[in-house]
Formats: sequence, structure tokens, C-alpha cells
Amino acid sequence: MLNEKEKYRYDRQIKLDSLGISGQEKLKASNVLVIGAGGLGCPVLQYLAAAGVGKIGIVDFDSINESNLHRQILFSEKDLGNNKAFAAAERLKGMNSFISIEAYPKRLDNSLALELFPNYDLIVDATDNFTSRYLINDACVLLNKPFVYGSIFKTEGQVSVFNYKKGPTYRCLFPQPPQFVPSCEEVGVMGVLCGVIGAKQANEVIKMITENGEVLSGKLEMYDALRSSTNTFSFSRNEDGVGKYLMTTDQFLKYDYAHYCGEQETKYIIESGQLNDLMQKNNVQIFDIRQDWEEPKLDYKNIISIPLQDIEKAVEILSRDQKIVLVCQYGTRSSVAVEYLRLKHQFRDVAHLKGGLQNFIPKK
Amino acid sequence: MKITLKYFGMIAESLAKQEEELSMEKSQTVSDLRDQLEKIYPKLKSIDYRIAVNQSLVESNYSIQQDSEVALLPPFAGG
Repeated sequence: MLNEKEKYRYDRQIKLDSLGISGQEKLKASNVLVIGAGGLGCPVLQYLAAAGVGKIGIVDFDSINESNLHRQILFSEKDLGNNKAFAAAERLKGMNSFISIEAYPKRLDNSLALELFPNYDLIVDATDNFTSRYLINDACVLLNKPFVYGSIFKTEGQVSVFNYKKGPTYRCLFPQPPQFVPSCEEVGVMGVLCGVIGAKQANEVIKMITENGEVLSGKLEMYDALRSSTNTFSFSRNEDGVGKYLMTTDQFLKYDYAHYCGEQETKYIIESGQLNDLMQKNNVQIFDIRQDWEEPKLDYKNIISIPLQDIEKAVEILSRDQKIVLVCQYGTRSSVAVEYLRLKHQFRDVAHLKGGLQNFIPKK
Repeated sequence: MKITLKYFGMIAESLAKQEEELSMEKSQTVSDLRDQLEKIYPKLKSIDYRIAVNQSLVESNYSIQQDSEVALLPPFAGG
């Protein structure tokens, strides 16, 4: 039941025939778990909190940095360095004291999904990687929860609703993770686009809770912000495909999603700061796999420059007695090349520079 | 026969175009079309994508008819 204050607060949406008092009561009684409080999570959370979703859970392990602020609109400069789930919860509590917010400052993994998902009516996938997306999909199928999907690439976005009333799942659309897809960190992302896609996700959540309109189940909406164009594609549930990945709780808990999605183990990744340290000590070989014309060049004595397509030539030259750090412009080619050297040529002490030289600041 | 191809996400970026027409000798399956496109654009071999014909996702044995609109849909990762 809504009290008088709530009726007044939500008056403008209660007035809508499509929502009404009953819709508002359904929102109040609902529980929604949002995974990821980043570019998509911020607008999703903002609209769900404003609309009066009774209980909202937020999962995010990451902390806020300055390069998030152009799109992660719940955060301000004073939040820099703080955990995103906590900061978002704090902000939303200030926006709407009629609802309850729970922050989980953790990385979503198999056991956390099994612990949290049963307590919520529906899940919002506002993550930025395939490991989480396949994990969320399989957990939702296992626990019979619908989830709202949103995802972006530069200036384009995708939205859909999966596993809604036995409808198609994410695996019916993309059965297996791709070999390679760059992240926002590497390619950039338009701030406004996150707002558009996140708002569309919130819209799907509200329609599902209030049982209104048509839910975007079995449909993939593609939005192009530069052309202001929308294309919608339909697809159906592939029962064999869904069955193939339907697991028991025990099987799910043992499934290694990071490995399955081709994520690199951290020991093969080097951060900017670490590379500076290694260069200071002069105990590393740097292998620049960019083309001759790519800038900036790196100033270091033990550097080998051979473009990626000629990597075979480098195999003979590289010393196996010293650490090898592969570098390229954005950390994309080097990430592939590390795997090549490791798996094809059994190099052991090899890593690559995360974010590439474009994001590397040499220590003077 | 002719079809219209529509590209999205990293495919549009990689091929530097959103749309184009393609002539085919006869009706082809989706898997034939993939082979043909990957010959014209070897870059496509390293990108995963689903194919939709006239706004519906189809499987590889689907036969594409004259004047169809064929979309190449890659998954997106960002958020």
C-alpha cells in the first residue's frame, strides 16, 4: 500500500493510465538487482530509484576514476577513488528516501550470483564484459529469472530482455563468446549513448514490473546515436542451445567463465606503473609490435621493433632469459601476441602493457 | 539478384561503411554468403557476428532471396 506522501511524490506517473496506483504499488513491492554501476548502471539506477522501485541492489567492485565522469552521471569529483556500488547507493538514498538500497562492493562471481539472484525479481545486466554476461545469463536460466541486457560499442548500443517468461536467452542470440572484442577502455564511448541505452533498460524493467506494454523479449534493439536510427531484429528461443548450457548448481559453481570468455590471467598483464619500474631497473626486453609510423616511440635501450605480422622473425631474436613486455598502441594487438608467444612458442616470462602506449606515461 | 547488406558496430567500423548492395548469381544460403563476404573482406574472419535477414535472425542453412535486407550483427561488450 502507498501512503499519502508516496501518492503525492509519484503523482505524475500514477496519473498515467498505463501505470496507475496499482502499477506504483507493484513498483514499490519489486526488487531489482543491477550488476554494474558504470556507464549503463548509472542511468538505470537513477530512473529505477526515481520511479520508486522498492528495493534496489547494486553490485560493483570497481572504484570511480576521473575518466568515468563523462558518462557515469551519479558520481561527482568528490567520489573519486570510492567504490561505485557504495557511491551510487549513497547518491540514490539522497534522491529517494522511500526506497531501500543495498550496495554489494564485490566482483560478481558464480557463488555471489547464486547468493543474490534468488532475492530479486529481476536482474539488470549493466556490465562491460562477456565473462559477466555469460555468467549472468546462465545463472538467470538456472534460477529462472528474467534479465534486461544493455551493451554499447562507441556510438551504438544494444538492448534486449532475456529469459522472460521462458523467452529467448542471451545464448539464443550469441551462443558463445566472441574471439575478441575491444572494451570501452580501449576504444572510447559516447556518454550520452550510455544514458539512452540505460534509460531503455530502465524502461523495460518498469514495463515488466507493472505488466504494461510490450516487453523487448525475443527482440534485439540496435540504436545508432550518430544517425539517430533504431533497428529491431527478432529471434527465437533455441531450446537445444538453452539445454546445452543448462547446469545444475554444482556444475554452475565450477564453471570458469573468465577462462571460457578468453580473459587473460593477470600475470600476463603489466600496468603502466610496473613498466616504468622495470624500465628503471633496465631488466626487461620491450617488444614493440606496432607499425614503423606509430607514435609515440618509447625511449629504452633494450627495445625490439617488429610489426605484429612479422612476429615469427622476432621469435628468433627475443631472449628467453629475460622478461619480455609486448607493447602496441592500445593494448589490443599486444594482448593477442602474448597468447601467441606463450602458446605457440612456449615463452614463459612474457606479458603485455595494458592500455598500450597511448595510455602510458613514462617516468622522467 | 541483388541484396542489401547492413553493417553494425565493429563490422561497420572495420569495413568503413554502414550499407551496400551485393550482387549474387543465384539464391544463396547464409553460410555461402559468409564465405563470399569473408573473401571480399578477410577482416570479417576475425569478427563474430550473427546474420539477420529482413529483421529476423536466421541460421546458416537459411536461403536468402532477391531484394532481402541482410544485417551483420556483432555482439557488443561495453557498458
